[in-house]
Amino acid sequence: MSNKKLYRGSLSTIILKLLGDNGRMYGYEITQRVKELTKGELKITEGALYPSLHKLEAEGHLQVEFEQVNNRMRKYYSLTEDGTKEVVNKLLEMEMFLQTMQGLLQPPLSSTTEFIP
Amino acid sequence: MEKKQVSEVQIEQLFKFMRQKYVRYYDVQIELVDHFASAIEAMWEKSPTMTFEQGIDNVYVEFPITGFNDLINEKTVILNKKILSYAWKEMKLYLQFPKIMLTLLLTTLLYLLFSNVQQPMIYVYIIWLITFLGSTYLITQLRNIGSKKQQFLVLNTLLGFQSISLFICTVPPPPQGLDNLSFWSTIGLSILTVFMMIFCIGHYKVARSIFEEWKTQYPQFV
Repeated sequence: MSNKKLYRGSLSTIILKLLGDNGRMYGYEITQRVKELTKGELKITEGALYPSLHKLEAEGHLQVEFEQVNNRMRKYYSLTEDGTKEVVNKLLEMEMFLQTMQGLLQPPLSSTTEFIP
Repeated sequence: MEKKQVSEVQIEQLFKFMRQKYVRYYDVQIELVDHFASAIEAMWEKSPTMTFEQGIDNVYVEFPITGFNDLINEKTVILNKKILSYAWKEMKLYLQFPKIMLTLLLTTLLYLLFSNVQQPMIYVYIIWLITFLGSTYLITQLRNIGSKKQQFLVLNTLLGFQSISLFICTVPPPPQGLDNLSFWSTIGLSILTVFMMIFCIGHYKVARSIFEEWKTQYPQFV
């Protein structure tokens, strides 16, 4: 089953978390790292990755630097001070969301037992 | 065995490919070229016999069916939002202390001018035109400095919001005509003129800071 839709809203969180853990990364590296970490379960498409990176950059969460690698220029992204704070906020949001979803999908035992006659 | 790498000639080929796909902005090309080169090099590790051209095709299919257009459009929208939100932020400063003193002083001076001259609307239009042309000229200068050798999307969007000032310039005269303005028309026109001036200052300041950022990212083009 394609779970692309489930992940779509979390792309910024994924990018921010990866950059928080790895310091600086470039576009292709992010796609490969996600693939590796999720054992191929989640594949970030190029069409979704770059707009997200550019949006986070425009919002001031990411800064960029260029470096000559082999015979080409490479654009590296890293977190700004604002971005570092945003990672904490996004992860908190995500945690709360997961808890809510868990509560919805797996109601605690006490609430289910109320209906037992 | 040594890792197979994309050569300098092939990098040029990738730039050419981007241009053929209507990616004319260097700041967009540079990221896509590195993406293609990195992906092709990774593919060569698994299939060393794959040709470079096959590699390009394999990477290109991963992009949306509309090619790179969506990428450019979305980047343009993001940049426009950034410019507009920074310009509003700058404008809000003129409604807060201490800059509000300058706003009030300017509004009063304009009110005095418009209420004490013959044919005040002519003065209104002249001030609007000077403000519009002056800021457009300054922003165009910034854009031109950066676009001598290559086109940059980030610089191309700088002028985007001059249309707001241009729109103000097309405001028709009040029903009383060019010669006499009522009290409220004079107040309204003074406020609108100050608004336009502040917007143009804000827009120029944002353009200037984006240009400075661009200079640090692409010093070779300055």
